[in-house]
Amino acid sequence: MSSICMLVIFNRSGEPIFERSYQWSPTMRALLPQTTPCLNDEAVGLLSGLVFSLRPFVSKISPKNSADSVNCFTTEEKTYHLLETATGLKFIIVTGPNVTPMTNELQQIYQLFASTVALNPLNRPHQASEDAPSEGKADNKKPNGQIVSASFCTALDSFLTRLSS
Amino acid sequence: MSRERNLAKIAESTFSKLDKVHSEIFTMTYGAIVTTLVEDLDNVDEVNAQLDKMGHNIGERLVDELLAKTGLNPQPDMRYVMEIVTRVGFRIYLGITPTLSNWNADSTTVTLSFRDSALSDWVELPHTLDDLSYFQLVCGVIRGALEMLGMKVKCTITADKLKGAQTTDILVELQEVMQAKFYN
Repeated sequence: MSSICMLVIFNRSGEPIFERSYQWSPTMRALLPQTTPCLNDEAVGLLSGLVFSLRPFVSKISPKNSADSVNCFTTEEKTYHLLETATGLKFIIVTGPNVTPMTNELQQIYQLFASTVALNPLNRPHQASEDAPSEGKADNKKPNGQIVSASFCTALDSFLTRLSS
Repeated sequence: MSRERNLAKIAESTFSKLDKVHSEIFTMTYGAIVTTLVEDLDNVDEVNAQLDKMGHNIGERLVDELLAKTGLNPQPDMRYVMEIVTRVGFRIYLGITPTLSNWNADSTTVTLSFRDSALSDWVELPHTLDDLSYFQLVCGVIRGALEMLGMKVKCTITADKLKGAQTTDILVELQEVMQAKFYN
């Protein structure tokens, strides 16, 4: 599964709070983080809107009353794997098209997130941007509550590399 | 019934995986926090407010850990969520399971009763602190956690063991189910 190209996390209101793009390096046999994103900002915005409205759509068309959810969807070139938590976080992994749904892997990433981000006192909880808009830093483009945890990035990189190799 | 047993099983397996501290250390630390707040702040209402705020901040973080480690993904359904809070949440974080009682007809209010809890062992409140709600932090945790699940609740302490009642009771009232709004 060396085709992982990106991980995006959206908060409750659909703002991207974490993005990381990857490329498989055959020489180093590792998944390397990339500075050029796999999806540009506009595409991430569109993805956010799509994922945000998928849930009401799915629960409308579901014959059962219980809430159904989408695990992944595929286009010709990419597969998007989704995990939506009860707290409204949305984890999305973008991979090549022929990959089985990565539900368990996403749940493990959520565990990494819980231990390195949610319980990290230096990270504000992911809804903080709604409550405290005044605390926005100079960089206005990014919403508050961005994940800046280095340990999350390290843990994520090695987890995804293990998946890929 | 099977849902309850299932939650209990999840709680046990998660509990065995978590880091633990002795309950004495925990009791003393919490006692020290409350004492410091009482010394630092002028009036008791402010202490209660601070405890509530601290609890709220704890709750909105703990909820993600709980969901990630247990794999639960509940809808904002008050009955189910409160069962998770008591059978899983309190079980894995405080080692106790409070009882739920007095559900109202449309399942929006419920009372949690604590018979004993590590937080209040060896605690005696002097009469000067009659207005202090020692458990306010727990109220805050419940409020913070449920807020992250999209449920706005109000928690009130209706009976306090430290003030002579049989059990400590927290009344949880659902005020509204919040719909997520898209940021644009």
